[in-house]
Formats: sequence, C-alpha cells, structure tokens
Amino acid sequence: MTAVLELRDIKVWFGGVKAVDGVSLALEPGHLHALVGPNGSGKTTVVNTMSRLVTPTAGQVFLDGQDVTAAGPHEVYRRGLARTFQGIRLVEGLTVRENVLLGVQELPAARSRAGRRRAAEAADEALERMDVHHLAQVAPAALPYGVQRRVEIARAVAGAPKILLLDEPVAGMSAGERQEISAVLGRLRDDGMTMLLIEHDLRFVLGLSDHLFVLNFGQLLAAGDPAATAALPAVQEAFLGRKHVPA
Amino acid sequence: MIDWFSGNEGYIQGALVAALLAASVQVALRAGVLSFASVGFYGVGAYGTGYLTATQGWGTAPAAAVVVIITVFLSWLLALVLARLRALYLAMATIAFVLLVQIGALAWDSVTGGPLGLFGIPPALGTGGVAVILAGVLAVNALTQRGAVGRRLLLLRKDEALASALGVNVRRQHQIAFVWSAVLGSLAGISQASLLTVFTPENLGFSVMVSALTALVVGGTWHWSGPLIGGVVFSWFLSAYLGFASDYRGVVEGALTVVVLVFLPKGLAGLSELLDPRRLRRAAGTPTGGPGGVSAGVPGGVSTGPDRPVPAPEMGVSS
Amino acid sequence: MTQQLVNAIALGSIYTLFSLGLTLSWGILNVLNLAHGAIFTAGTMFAFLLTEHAAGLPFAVVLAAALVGSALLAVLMEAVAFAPIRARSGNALDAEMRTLIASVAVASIIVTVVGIQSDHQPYALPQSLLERHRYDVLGVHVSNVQILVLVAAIVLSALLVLFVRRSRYGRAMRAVAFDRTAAGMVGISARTLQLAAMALSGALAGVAGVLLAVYLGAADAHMGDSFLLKAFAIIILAGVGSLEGAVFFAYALALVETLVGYYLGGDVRDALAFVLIVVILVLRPQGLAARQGWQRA
Repeated sequence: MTAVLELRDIKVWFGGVKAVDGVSLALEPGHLHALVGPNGSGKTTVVNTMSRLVTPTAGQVFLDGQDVTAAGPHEVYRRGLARTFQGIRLVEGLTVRENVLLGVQELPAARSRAGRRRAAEAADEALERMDVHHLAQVAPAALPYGVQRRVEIARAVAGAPKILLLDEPVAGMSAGERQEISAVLGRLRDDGMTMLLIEHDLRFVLGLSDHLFVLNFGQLLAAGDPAATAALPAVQEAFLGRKHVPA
Repeated sequence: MIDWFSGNEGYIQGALVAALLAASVQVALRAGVLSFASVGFYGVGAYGTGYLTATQGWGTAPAAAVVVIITVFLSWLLALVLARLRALYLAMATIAFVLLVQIGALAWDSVTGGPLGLFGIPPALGTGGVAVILAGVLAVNALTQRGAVGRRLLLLRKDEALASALGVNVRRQHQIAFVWSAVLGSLAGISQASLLTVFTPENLGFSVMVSALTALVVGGTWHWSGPLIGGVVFSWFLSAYLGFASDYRGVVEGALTVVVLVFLPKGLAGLSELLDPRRLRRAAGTPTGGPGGVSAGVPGGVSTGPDRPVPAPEMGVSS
Repeated sequence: MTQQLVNAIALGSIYTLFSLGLTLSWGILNVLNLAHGAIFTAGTMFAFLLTEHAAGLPFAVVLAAALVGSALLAVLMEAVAFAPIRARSGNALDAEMRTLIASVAVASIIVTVVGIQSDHQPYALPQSLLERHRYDVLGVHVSNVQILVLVAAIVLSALLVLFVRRSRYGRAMRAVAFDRTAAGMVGISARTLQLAAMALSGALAGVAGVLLAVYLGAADAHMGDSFLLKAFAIIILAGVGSLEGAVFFAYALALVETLVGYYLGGDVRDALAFVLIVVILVLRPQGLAARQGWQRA
C-alpha cells in the first residue's frame, strides 16, 4: 500500500534556525496519525511544508506517489490535501454555509454547471456530518469556539480530500469542547478518513490516534504504536523536560 | 427635462468618469490588491485615444480597441513584474508608476503634446456612450460580487493564506484583478478624452486620484454600487454646489473621505445594508436553530466564542 | 562637472531629511504616508506666513517654528485620522489600505489650503531671511545655503540615529518595528510611540521643506510630489525603517541622478527613480541594505 503523503528528509531552515531538520515520515491510508511535540518543536512548520505554504530548504514531499515539492498550496489542495489552521480561520461576512462552499468551489470537479451543483450538495452533506446544518445561514463569528471549529472541519472534508491535516484543532479549548472535537475526529476516523493530527498535548491524542510521531528540536524522536511510543524514556523526557506531563 | 439635462451635462459627465475610475480602484482593492495604478492607466487610455484620433486621424472605435489591448498587455506585464509584492510595497510601486506616467505625459512631446496636451479629440462617445460603458462595467462588477466569484474575492481580501490553502491560485487571481482594474482605468481615460476633446497633463494630476478615491470611499468601497453613488454625490452634486473649479474642492473631498473612513467604513452603500432586516438578524448572530446543538452528551454553548483569544496566524505564503 | 557634484550634495541632503521621516512612519506605524510631501510643503508655508506677518525674525526662529508647525500637523493627522482608522480596521491589509487612502485625503486638504494661501503661485521666502554668500573653494562655487543644508542634514540624521539607537524611546521604536506588542516591555505605550514617530517624521519634513525653499529661492503647493518618488526609491534601496541606509542612498541617488541628468538629459533622470524602484522590488524586495529586526519585511 503506498503512502497517501510522504516526507523524505525534509529540512526547513529560517536563516540560522533549523525549524525542521531532516524529517521523513509516511502517512498510510485510513489511519489517524498524530504528530506531537513540545511547543517550538517544528510541528506547524511540518504541516506548512506538507500543505506547501512553506518551501523546504531540502527534501521532497510526495502526495499520492507524486512529487509535489514544487507545487503551490492551491495545487495540492486541488489534488486532495486539506488542512485546518491553529487559529479559527472562517471568513467574516460569509454565512456558515458560504464558508463551507469555499471548500468545494475551487476544485476541478466544480467547474461545470453539474459539478457546481454536486459541489453544493457535498457542502450541505458536510454541514450535516458535522452537525452544523441548522446553522447554515448564521454568521460564524457569533458561534461558540467548538462549533466554529466543526464548521472549519466541515469545510475541509466537504471536498472529500485524500488526507486531512489538523493543526492543533483543540488549542485553547475547554474540556467540553475538546471532547466535542475528539468525538468528531473519532467519527471521521471510523469513516476511513486519512488524517494527521498535530498536537502538543500527548494525552489528547493517545486514545484517538493509531500511529504516533514524536517531534523534538525539528527531528523525529520516535514513531510507532501510540501507547508504546509514548512510554519510551526519550519521549517522556522530552515532554517532562518542558513541563508537559502526559497521563 | 432636456433643459435640465443640457444644463447639467458637464456635471453628469464628471460623475460618470469619476465612477469609472473609482470602479477601477475598487476591483483591485476588493481582491486584496493594494494598487493605485488606475490613474496611470487612465493616462494611458486618454493619451492613447487622443494620440490615435487627434494626431493619427483614426476613428474612435478602433483607437479605443487598440488602447484597451495595449492596456491589457502593459498591465499584464506590470502584474508579472510586481507579482511578488504585497500590501504597501505594491501600493508604493503602483504610485511610482502613476508618477512615471505623469512625468511621461510632460516629457514625451511627440505623443502627448507635452505641457500643452492634445487638442481636437473627436467627441464620438458622448454622455450616452460613456453611460453605457459604465453600466456594462457595473453589471460585471455586480455579477462578480455574488456567487462563487464573490466568495472567492472576499476570501482573497480577508485571508490570502487561507485562500491558497482552499485551492485559490492567489497570484493568478491578483493578476486578473490588476488587469481588469487597468482596463477600467483605461476606459475612464478613453471616456474623459472623448468627452473633453482636450487632454493635458493637468487632467492627470494628483486631484484625479483624490477624486476617484473620495468617490469610492464615500460611495462604498466594497459594494459594486459604491463608485456610482460616490461619483454622483461628488462629481455631480458637489460640483453643482461648489462649482467645478472651486478652490475648496480639495478640502471638502479630503475631509469627507477621512470622516467616512473613520465613521462609515462601508460608505453610503453600507447604509442600505444597515437597514436590511435580514442583514440585521445575521449581524446579531441569532441562529435559526438552537445555539450550538452539539453532538451527543457534549455541553454545547458553554464557551465564550468570539472573544476568546485566537492564536496568531501562521506565516503567510509570501513570507 | 565638479560644480554639479556640489549641487548633488545639497540635493542629497534634502532627500535625506525627506526620506528619514517617511521611512520612520512606515517602519513604526506601518503606514505609507502619502501626505508626507504635503507636510513638507506645509513647512514652507509656515515659514512663509511667519516672514510675512513678523518680518525680521532670525532664520533659526523661522526654521524652528516651521519644524514645530509641521510636527504638530503630522501629530494631528495621526490622532484624527490614522489612529481611529487603525483601531477600527479588521485586519492589517484593511488598515494599510485605509490609512493610505486617508493620507491621500489629508494631502489633498493641505495642498489645497497651501494653494489657496499662495493664490496658486510660487511663493518665495524673503532674501533678507538668509543673506547669501558665495565662496570659491578650489575653483568651485559653494554657497552658504548649500553648506547649511548639508550641515543640517548631517546633524539631524546623526541626532536621529543616536536617538533611535541609544534612548529608551528609540529602543522601544525598534522593538515595535519588530513586533507590535513589544513596546510595553520597554515601559512606553504604543500610543505614545506612534505619536512620537509621527512628530519626528513631520518635523523632518518641515525642516526639509524650508531648507529646499531657501535653497531654490521659491516654493509652491505641489513641490512635495516629486520628492515622494525619490523617497520611495531611497527607502526601497535602504530597506524600510533603515535610517543609516536611507542617508547613504539619499546621497547616492542624488549623485547618480545628477550624473545621469548631465550625460543623458533630464527626462532619463526623472524616470531613474521609478526604474530603480521596480528593479529593486523585483530582485530584492527586502531592500539592498536590509538587516534583520528593524524593518518589517
């Protein structure tokens, strides 16, 4: 089985700062992968490299077996790589439904008249899947944080991506909201969506993911079965050293 | 009616050209392109038409067609050159372009007639012709403010990085907006040259940019009707009350622009929106269903939502 | 030719003072202030009105009054237009766009008022304000005005650089240029800093205007326009916010322009700044002399 997304020896240097220093990893279809690491370990830079917002200093990115290292962010999106950002990025001035339509309208399939209709249907289905269809005509800014996040996930999955990258989707959330989002991700996993969940809280991903990558100082520290990997002394040390005590 | 029209024709013409030029600035801004090249292409349009008709003896229609083609070519070239620039750097480069066109208008005697300008440009378009051009332009802008294109433009303006992460080719969209803006600027220049029959460097001064920006801001920067409203309010009513060459025009325009920028960000076009009950409900955020009816067993409406600190956005595409 | 070089140095001095103010407001407030040229012009009008209504005042007093007047004008613009607009803007791009348009509007007000005051004619500061002397130095004519312009530019830019490098305010300004929220760390509010930056910017423009009016013998309402283009080129060459870079490239541009004008003619000289802007922006958008941490790229 080929990997949906693969990084080969990725290096991202900003001036003298080595944000990512030689990371290789492969994301297998149908799995919920988690990428954890203390703050500043280079997690967001890895996601930005995958979604082509950051150009690596060295290394290659493969999407579905094709080299996309030189492609633009809009191209990888059209080829099936969707992502969310750390902060909520909903467009003010558009309703919830219009925001979700943004997720499908730029896809090649939406070019024809019939394609546009199918895309709109897909957007409505995504609204239902994320349980926000009754809020379709509402301005998103007025909604609770957790609901806004679900609208964003609806936008990301509406176009049926091959892979979904989630950059700290529960950062700054209350316990209740974390549970809410955790349930959503669990359902997506059960539906067979390939995902990469970025998180600095090891505890949050342990019950949720089926494959764990641990990043520290821009390098992969460990990878494999979540529970076993989290128990490794090196991983424990990396998190304890920065006062992130896992369960 | 006819008496009224002939008595006010000059003001109406001023309003039409101001609206075209304001629309030209608008189509760049609404795509998130901070460009003021409109006034430069206004000069290209006016001098190009003037030169081809008055000096070379062409008909107005072929002259205008050639000038528009030249504008597309020039603006595409400029867009390619300036493609990497964002925000204030782009604004500065485009203002430099305007200043260069002004220098060129004075210096390139054989085409522009130097300080004396061009005379005897045939008045082929007339008030009606310019009104038709403006109507067509506004129709296109109104249509592209709705549906998928309208959403894409809003997305581009509000969040460029998000736009690219949702499949929008940002650079290409910016280039299209830049070229469309240039064409509208050129059409404004073609119209002005044809209406005035004379075009001198005086017609290309700082005040042209001020009038266009004032019309746009006062009328409404983000609504397709803004340039029309602003053009009518300014070039017509204001000219009628103050007189065309009033000494104080620059003061009135400047002061009104600042006041509207501070107190009425959506301009006069935004007033109607404020009164629209559907919008009001939407702005108040009253959900049509229960607030945040969330998945099983999770306390939904607990969080404070909008006033929660949101982490700073990541680096953009063009860092 | 040597005579041309003397003129180039005087011109470069005016460019220096003008550009320093513009790069300061861009670096610290993130505003492209198109009213900078108008404030420069307003400085000459302040001086002109003062000499008309209070003849016989010494030059230093007139210059100081124009400096204060221009600084106040810039502060007023910040307080009435820029600050409220920034406070109500949705995002950075929105704020940049709207302050830019506001600066055009303010420029329109100032230029119109100066135009009305001067009856749309060029106006001259009285000869008696500053007696002119000419010296022959190794066969080259040098006037006392040229020396004054050069000395003023050197002293003021040195003071500004020292201020930004050494004083608490200056450190806070550098911090703010790097990170908007950093001013508080130095114990100075962002509000105070923004006003201070605009005051300095306006003061420099006013001094530059009066010196130019004395140097040329006349001023008019639109004299600031052509300097904007030159200042753009200088700031782009130096990198936004770089003071030392602005000083260096102001003299370099004046020198190259003088040479180009001498050998290739005035039209080429006038287009040179634009060509430089485009070439630099395309090849090296962060400026030739860019350094980390002081300008926002």
